[in-house]
Amino acid sequence: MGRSGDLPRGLVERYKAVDGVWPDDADCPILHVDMDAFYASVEIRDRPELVDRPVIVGGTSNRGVVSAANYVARRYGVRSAMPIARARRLCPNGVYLPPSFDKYQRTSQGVMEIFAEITPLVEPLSLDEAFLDVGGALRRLGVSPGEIGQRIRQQVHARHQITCSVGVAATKFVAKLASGMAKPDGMIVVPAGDVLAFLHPLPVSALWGVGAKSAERLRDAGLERVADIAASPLPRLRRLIGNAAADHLHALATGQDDRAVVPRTPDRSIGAEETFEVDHFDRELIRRELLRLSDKTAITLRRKGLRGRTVSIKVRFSDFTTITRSRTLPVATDGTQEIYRTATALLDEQTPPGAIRLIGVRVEQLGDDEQVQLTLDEPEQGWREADAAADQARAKFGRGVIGPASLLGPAARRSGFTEPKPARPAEGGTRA
Amino acid sequence: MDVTATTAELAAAAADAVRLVPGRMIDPVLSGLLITADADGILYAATDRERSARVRAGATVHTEGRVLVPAKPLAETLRALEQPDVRLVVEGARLAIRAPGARFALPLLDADSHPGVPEPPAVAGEVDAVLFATALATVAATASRDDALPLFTGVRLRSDRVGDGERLALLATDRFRMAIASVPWTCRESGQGELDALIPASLLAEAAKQLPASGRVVLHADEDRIGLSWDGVTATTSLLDGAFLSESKVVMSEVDTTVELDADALAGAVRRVGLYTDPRGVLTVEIGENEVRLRGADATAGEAEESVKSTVDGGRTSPSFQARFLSDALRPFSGRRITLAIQPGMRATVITAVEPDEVDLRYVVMPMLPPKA
Repeated sequence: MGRSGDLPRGLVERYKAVDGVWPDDADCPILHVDMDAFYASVEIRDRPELVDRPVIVGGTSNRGVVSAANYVARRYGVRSAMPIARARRLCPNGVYLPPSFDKYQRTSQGVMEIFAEITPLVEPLSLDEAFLDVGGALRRLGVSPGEIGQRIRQQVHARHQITCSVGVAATKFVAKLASGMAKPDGMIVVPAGDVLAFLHPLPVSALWGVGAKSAERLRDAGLERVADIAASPLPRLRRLIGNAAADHLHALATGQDDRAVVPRTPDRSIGAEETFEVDHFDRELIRRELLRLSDKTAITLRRKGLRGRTVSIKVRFSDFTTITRSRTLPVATDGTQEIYRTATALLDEQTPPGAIRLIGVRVEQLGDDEQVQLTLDEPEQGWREADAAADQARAKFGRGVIGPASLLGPAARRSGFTEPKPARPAEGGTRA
Repeated sequence: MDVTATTAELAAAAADAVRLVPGRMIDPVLSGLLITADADGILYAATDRERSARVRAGATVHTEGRVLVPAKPLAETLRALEQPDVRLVVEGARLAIRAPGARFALPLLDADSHPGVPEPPAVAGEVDAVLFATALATVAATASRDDALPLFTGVRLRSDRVGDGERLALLATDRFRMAIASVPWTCRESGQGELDALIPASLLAEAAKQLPASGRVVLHADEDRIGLSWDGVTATTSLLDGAFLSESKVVMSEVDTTVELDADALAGAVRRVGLYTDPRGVLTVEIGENEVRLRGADATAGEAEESVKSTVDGGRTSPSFQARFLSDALRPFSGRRITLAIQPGMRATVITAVEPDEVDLRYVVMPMLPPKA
């Protein structure tokens, strides 16, 4: 959450171990585990000489953004999602590294395996964080939630040489807050009976779903702390920020959050996008990049055994206006060619001319690939087999070994790039 | 120009012209309707360069003339009028639509800059309007609406010599199913005698709605265009490229199971069991001794099973289909007995009527990929 800076001092200490004794963790089955500066920590693990230097991972040209910064870099004011150019001004002597997603993915898998050894109820939120419901595991392992949290922290460090922080609480919301406050390399236990005492001194911005704008509106109304929200009548809140948001915040502020830990939230969509180093007018080049992105997205879909019915493209022009255009196919697809064909049609028919800064491809309305609608014109050996053969080659020889021939030339220079990744329901998804 | 006419007739003709050329044109000239008043009454004409329409309407012409006005506003105004008679009269730079107690005036567009509406190509032949409309209702609806693959948005019309008679074949596919129909065809001496063209399904679907309840439709064709005319209406369109659509490409010779049953009974069961399927709407058609069993199951929707009495021959293959494709396939056979010819593996199932009809129809549906054994 990165908002620990707003917290009242001393608050955190109450919920940490004192002389090895943790606060009461009975009825606290929810753990939120969050890797500390994940990408940066993985890089430092592989290059230990960087441990005391500010390390910033992100697009390496000046137009990229910071993906992760270690705690040394954060002392300079560098934060995630900040433009690299700004980070360089704040921290000119930092070590700037391009992201290597393969490595993060592998480490993430290893970490998730540790979780899976403890409980099947693991809900990954991204590569570097997850909720665990250890309620069922307690009796089997004969330990308390806090002990499980410590065990996870120790295992993650032993096997992967990176640190993580853990929040232990009765609800997801409090557990996530707690892990954020425990950072870095710490753990916090919020006893079930202390939830209100824990929440109420916090600033309203700590509540899920309160961004800068709503925080300002609430502050203008004199509501600064969570306690103020809890104490204010619901109708008043509703007038201030709308019915749905008011109900949501009021529930959180009074410690209510009945969302269960759902193992593996199904992916809502998968896509990839890239930001060019210079803006491009050349539609031929853009089409080639669409092929590259379509291929990446399709490969990820096939690896995950998913198909999607809606293909969308996202185009950001040089003036930062951003449009998305989508088309729904009659049947779900995971094929490179079909995604590409749809994406280019969207570019050709529905995208106004202009210099393009960022382009992305996304496949939505995902489902598993058990059910495949056959087509009349399907050759016995077609694109499906070509895709499958290419996937096999990649599995054997690595990512770069095979791809569409038209991508053999030099790629457009990119300054930012995302791997195909699922978009998940926004945090605080109760409002969605 | 100055004419008086029956409002209903004028409104209907204007609406037909607008629907046959619905293009949302940015060019104001092409979004206009060209109205010619002459000794025969009124002729509406519209084009978007791809398509064109001419629609005649009866009128009493006081002063002949030719004007271009915005098409949709004219059609909507006429449709909204409740007065039985209406007068169209040029007043300065306006076309006034006058009815008792009311005046609506549309700006005149520059009629001279209008490209004009071309004459239809030479006559190729003709078909019965009702049979043609019946066949089109199914075939045009089977074409894809996805413009990304223009080929599949068309209906192929092809004249075939069958025995000593001649038939007009109508084909369309969206890649997942194919409708193949044929109706009796009368070739015109003056034409080449051969017709084979791929026509945008949207025009044919609209024409099918407008065709009269009796009479004939004349088809005109040349290399680039096709035209249809009936009862004072002529519509033309550019052809789509490619003649990919061919029923000969679809394997239909490996049938290992045939089922004869009542189309409505099966359609009803599909509708009900279809409620209990996954989001993709897949249901399985299991072939029993003397029945077919439809099964649907989904983790959240629950499961359902319904049997339909059938005469079964074979019974080795139990394919799965998307319920909506089955429903579409069964609709044109409503009220009749049908035969399902089922092929194993990745091949299509073909639906035909047991008793032949003047409109010969075959409906081909592709199944879902069978689970790997």
